[in-house]
Amino acid sequence: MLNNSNKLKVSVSPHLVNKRLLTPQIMWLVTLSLLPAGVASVFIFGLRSLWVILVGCISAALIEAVIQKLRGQKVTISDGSAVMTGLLLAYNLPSGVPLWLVVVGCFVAIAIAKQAFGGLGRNIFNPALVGRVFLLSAWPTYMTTFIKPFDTITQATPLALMKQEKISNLSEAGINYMDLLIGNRGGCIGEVCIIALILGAIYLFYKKIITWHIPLTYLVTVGIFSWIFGLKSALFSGDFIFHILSGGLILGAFFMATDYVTSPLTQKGQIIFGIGCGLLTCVIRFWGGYPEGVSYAILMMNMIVPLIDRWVKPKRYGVK
Amino acid sequence: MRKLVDEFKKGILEENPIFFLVLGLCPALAVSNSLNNALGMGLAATFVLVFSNSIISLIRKFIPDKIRIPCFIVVIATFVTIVELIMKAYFPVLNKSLGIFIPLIVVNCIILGRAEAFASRNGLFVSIADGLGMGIGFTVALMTIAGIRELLGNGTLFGLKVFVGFEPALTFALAPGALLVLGLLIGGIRWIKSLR
Amino acid sequence: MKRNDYLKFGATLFIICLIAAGLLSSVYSLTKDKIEAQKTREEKLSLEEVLPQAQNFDFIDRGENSFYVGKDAQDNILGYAFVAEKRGYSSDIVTMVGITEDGTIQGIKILSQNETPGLGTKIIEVESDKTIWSVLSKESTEAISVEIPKPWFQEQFKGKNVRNLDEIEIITGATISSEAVIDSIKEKAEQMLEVIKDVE
Repeated sequence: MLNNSNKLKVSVSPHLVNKRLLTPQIMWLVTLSLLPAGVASVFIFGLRSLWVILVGCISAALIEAVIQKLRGQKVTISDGSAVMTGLLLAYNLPSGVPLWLVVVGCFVAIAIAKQAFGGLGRNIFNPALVGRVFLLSAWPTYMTTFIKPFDTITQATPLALMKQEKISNLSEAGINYMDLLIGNRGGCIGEVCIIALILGAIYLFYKKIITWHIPLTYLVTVGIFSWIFGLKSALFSGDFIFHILSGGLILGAFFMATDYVTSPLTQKGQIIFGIGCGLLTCVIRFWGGYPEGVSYAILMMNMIVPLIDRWVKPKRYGVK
Repeated sequence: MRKLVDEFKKGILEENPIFFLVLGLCPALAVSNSLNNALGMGLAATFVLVFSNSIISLIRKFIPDKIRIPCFIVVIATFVTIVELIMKAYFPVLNKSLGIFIPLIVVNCIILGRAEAFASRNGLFVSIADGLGMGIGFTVALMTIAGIRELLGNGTLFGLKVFVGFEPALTFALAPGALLVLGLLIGGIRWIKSLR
Repeated sequence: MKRNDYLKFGATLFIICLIAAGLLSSVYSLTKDKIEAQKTREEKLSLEEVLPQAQNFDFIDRGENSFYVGKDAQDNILGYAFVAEKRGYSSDIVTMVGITEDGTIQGIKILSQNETPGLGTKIIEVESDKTIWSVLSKESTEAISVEIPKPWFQEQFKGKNVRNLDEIEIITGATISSEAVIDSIKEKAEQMLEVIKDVE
């Protein structure tokens, strides 16, 4: 359909034009835009995180190929979607996890969350996040043991410290906003270096792969909500910059909530989706059982995407 | 005789209450965390199913159609209470771990479902065969789920360690594991059936 | 619907309920003693576990602060047992504790808990080398059945004083559950030592 060598072509809508990117191109561009964060993590956490990333990408692609072979389908690992899932999953793991854990996570992400639902484009949930949430509930000890940057000892994340009420503001954790921006804090491989993530996000905006609707509403909602409720002792005095920069929020808002397959189609729907993600993230962070709620928030909102799409369906022309 | 065997067999395989009728999922999800619990639950449900089926089939001609459901419930509740009393008296350990789920057999849809769909329309012996088959089918399904969950979630079978150095995936011991395993099993079994 | 139908429905239900009630009451009277016996046996077993040397137990009813006095065959008081309770991660953890007069723990037993399987439930975990293979192969069965495995977390409490429970090793990944057990014992024991003093 996209190869316009024919002079005249009749087809059903949507009528795609050459300028729009193809699925494989999008996937590889997103993967490319994620690379700075990966490079930064190798600096921060050492070679160990490179291994986790490599194992994630390779095993995700292999598992996808094997399943597609078994189902008698065309093997489509060259479209990059499996590699991207593996990469995102690896970014959501602490750097100290055993490598077999990465492979199990990729299996759950690709085999159960993606292929069992029918493959790319048919999955309800973001596969990488399903993999992460499965690992978190299966091996919580591994998944919540974070390595201190530029070191080999373990360290709790600032959000976890906040949850356990060991600290009440950022300086008590011994770091400042700059540390959060460059990634000098405990956390998952791909979520710590905010600057690298923002670089990748800017590239995606430039290439028009993502729009502002989901990330901006997501971040603004988290900001407002954590400004109001962020501090237990008083309303309207929470440290919202801390809450936006910590945890996996930046990674989640720009790279996972914006996944084409699992987010709403219309702009109005995307705004609702972003606000919902923000509210759920804050509710989990402040009153839930876990210190961080980005993964669960996005997965829960994925679940109601079909409802959002139906609700904000554009009116047909000429119909009142 | 042929009919008896057929009615018995269908409950185990092609009309398995969990995998094909998709009935009685609450106990299948809640009590399938270990093989011991699954076996106890399955046997208790089978006992209730056989007796309620046979009594209902015996009195089916006396029960007016309009009040059949309350009558079934009284019969089922009676047998469930008997099971509970016997368990408390002779198997206190099992009673403790099955807890609330024994009284809840009363509202297990398999039992009321078989009373309504089968025992109230068929003779005594076929009803017993149906109850026994359905009960065993339920037990087998429950133990399949429980076996997978206990092995992956706890590294044990019947409470005994299987592998040395295996790190169990806790998800399977928790509620999400039950839904995951049940969903994949139902999907997998239907997929295999569709290949034939 | 005819009037007659109502009578018939009522009568049918009545007869069915009557038979059911009769059946139930007979089963109840048959199992009543056995259930009672199971309860007292269970109680006795836990008491024997937390106060291993005692032979007889007297129950002293003080409402919330009820406790048991453990005595040997000559009626000498050996220790006291009581029940401590505290909210863990996902359930109330109920523990029976046996202490001597000076507060040394003779033994504890967790009576009921419903913590997260695999994490919080480690408080009642029993360490055992027994695997399914060793049970299936006959030879080793005999050797294994001799040792009675004990839950390692609860064993730690033996011989410690209730005022000094800092040495108890907290389970990795189950901090809240283990701390709930320790705190419940600490708090309740302090209270009970006062009560016991008053009784004497």
